Parts: sequence; C-alpha cells; structure tokens
Amino acid sequence: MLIGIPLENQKRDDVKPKECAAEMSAYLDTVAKERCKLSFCKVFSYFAPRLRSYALKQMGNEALAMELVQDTMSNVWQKAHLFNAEKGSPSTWIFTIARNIRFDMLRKLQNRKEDVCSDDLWPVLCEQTADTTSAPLDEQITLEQVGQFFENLPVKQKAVVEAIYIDGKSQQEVADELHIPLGTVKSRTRLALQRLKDMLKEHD
Amino acid sequence: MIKYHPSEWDIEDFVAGNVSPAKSLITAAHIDMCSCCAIRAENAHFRQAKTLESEKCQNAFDGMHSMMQAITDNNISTTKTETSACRNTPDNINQMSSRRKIDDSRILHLEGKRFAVPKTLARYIPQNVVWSKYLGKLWQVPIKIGGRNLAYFIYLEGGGYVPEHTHAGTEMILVIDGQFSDGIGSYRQGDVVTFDEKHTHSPVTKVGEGCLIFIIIDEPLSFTNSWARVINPLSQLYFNLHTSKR
Repeated sequence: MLIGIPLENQKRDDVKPKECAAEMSAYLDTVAKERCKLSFCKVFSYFAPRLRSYALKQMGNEALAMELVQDTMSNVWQKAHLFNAEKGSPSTWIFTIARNIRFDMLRKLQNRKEDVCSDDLWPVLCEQTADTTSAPLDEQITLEQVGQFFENLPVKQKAVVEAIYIDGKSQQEVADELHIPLGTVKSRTRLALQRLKDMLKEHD
Repeated sequence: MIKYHPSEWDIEDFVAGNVSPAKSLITAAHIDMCSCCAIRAENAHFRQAKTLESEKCQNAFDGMHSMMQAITDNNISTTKTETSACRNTPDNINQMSSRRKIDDSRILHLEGKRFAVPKTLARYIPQNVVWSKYLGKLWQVPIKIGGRNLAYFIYLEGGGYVPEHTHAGTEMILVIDGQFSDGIGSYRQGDVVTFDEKHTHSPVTKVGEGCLIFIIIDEPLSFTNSWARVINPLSQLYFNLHTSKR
C-alpha cells in the first residue's frame, strides 16, 4: 500500500542523523532524570556559543543577546524533562525555546499590547500540552491529587487559579473582576502553580 | 481541500518569530487545521534549527562559565514574563473538576450549532457573551486580543451577505467552518486570506450553508457605498469600536 508514504517522505528534509543529536539527547535525558550538572555542562558548552552567535544576529545587542542565551539555557536546565527525542532533535527543541523567548522579548521591547505570547503559538514549554488527547492513567491519578492539593492553596491564590482554569477566564478579566493589577494575577497564578508542584513533589 | 495557505515565506517567517502577534495567531490557527502546513512548519523548524547548529562560534565567550554556574545553582528564574501557556489550556483542571471531554473546550456554541475551533483559538471562544446580530443573518462577537487589532468571530448564516466594502487596513480571515464567496474567490474551511485596501468585496454565503470565520482587522472596514455607511449597523459598529479604542 502506498497510502501515506508521500507524507512520510515529506516529513523531514534531508535528515542526516548527526551523532551529535543522539549524544545531546542522552545528556538532556540525564539532566532531566538526575539533574546531572556534568551532562548539562556538555549541552551548555555545545549550544551556548551557538545561541550567542544566533542571538547577536537576531537582537543586534550584546546585553540582549546574553539575556536570550541565559534564559534559553536556564529553561533547558529546568525543563529538560519536557524534551522528547521522538518529536525532534535537541537543536530543534532548543531553537524553539530561544525563538519563543526572543518573540516575547521583542514584543516587550516594542511595547506591543497584544495579548498573544509565544506559548500560545508554539506551546513548547507547556507542561500540559504534551499529549492532551489521551492522558495516561497515572497522569489522571496525579490530576486527582492536584485536586486535593488545590484545596490547600491560600484563598487568594485559589480564587485566581479557579477563575482562570475552571471558569476559563483570561488573566485580564480576573484582574478586572478582582480589582487587582494584572501583574498580581500573574504572580499569584505562578505562585499557586509552583506551590502545587512542590506539594506534588513532597507527596512523591 | 484547503485552497488558500500562507506562503512559504509566511511560514518561514512565522517559525522564525518575525511575524506580528496577530498574524502569528492566524497562521498558528491555520496550521492547526492544515496538515500540509503543519509539515511545512515542522520542516521550517528543522531547517532553522540546523542553521542554529551551524552557527560559527568561538568555543567560549566571556562570562560563559559563570552563566552556567548561575543556571545550575538555580539562581535564575525561568519564569517568563507571561506564562499564559497554562492559562490557555484549561483542559487540565477542567478535566480534573468535571471530567469533561477535552474536546469540549474547543467547541464554540451558537444558536444550537456546534463548531470545532482550532486549538490555538480555543481560549478566545466566547463564553457567556451575547452575539450581536446584524442584517438579519450576520452574527458577530468581538474578541480581545489586545493591541491595535480588532478581532471577531463572525457567523454568516446561509443565504446571507455583507454589503460591499473596502478595507482601510489589513483584514486577515480564517474560515473555521463552512464557506463563503465574494466575487473574487470562494473560501472554505481552513482557508486563510488577507484583504487590504486594494480589495472591494461583498461576501455571501450559499443558501443552507452558513460560514464561521475568525477575523483580525488592524483598521476598521470602510464601506464604499455611503448609503450603506449611513444606515448599515455593521459600519456603525466598526466605527464605534474604532473610536472607542484605547
């Protein structure tokens, strides 16, 4: 049967699996599982100078370029568990992170008021987007646990999280309703999510 | 079959992150609906990542070691300025609270009809809002995307029309469901088209087949027919919105 073959062939332009990709994938895996600084050092030494060179071209400014490199590599360190070798190479993943950060940096610099940020367009660092179609059983159990922990959040944080995640309101709407600045909504959301994360970790 | 796609260049630019937020939003939503552009975007990511890999580089730069140190000591917060990623995927907690099917969060309800909206636009689905109705067959609801842009979901019932108008700015349309035509072309589900001041058109739908679109306008429409401008509630609406913009 020939069905589907043309698409398969189209899927990647001229793939030449570099040994580097396999090597970097392995390092990222170790970073994710063991928080291994040595492995991170390998990834960092390979990518940071390249990112810097990319960033200098893109931002045209040394300070901004360094900020971009640093933010990108921090995300790599902290979110290595979100890297999925089946979905792409380490360089593709790191490129998308850098591109997202750059997109948001430029928006901020240009003072654009659009309520559209990189995560909406390319949800590469979103914990939940991994596989939304069929959450595996163990994940569902975790969701139920989150439900219990949710009750333990401070009242103010709970209110914000509830409005955003359960009522599906935007952060701006919540800010308007509660008569608090948008920044406060954002920080409460962040704190609440961090807290939930910590509670889950403790539970493990 | 989707007929109108973003150009190769548009996709390349979108992937590079060089496109305005509004246009990026429409492009991302089109990619959600179009498997061929999804592949094009994936290839563009792959190619652009390759250029990152082949960047000329010195082996080290000043401050490299201390940067790495700071990162692994977790002295640097990765909390980006806006982590809306989680905001726009209410799936997770909805699922936990009510075990709703995830797909429900992408369904737009209007007058008893259900429309599946591409996932990038899911967070803009109007909830508990009254749609305005014009000309008997045109339903519309404004969407806040911020900035200077006006965005709407518009549903034109089967056999409906919008008076002839031109465009003062750029109008980007994504057809989410159904089809409409305007004398220039006919546009179907998944098609993405841009109209500007060069285009004068009057969109119509076939009898029995309505059309839901998502539209971003960076300047209000201007009606070519001054008669229409005076009596047409739609033009009033655009003008009102325009003047009341922050």
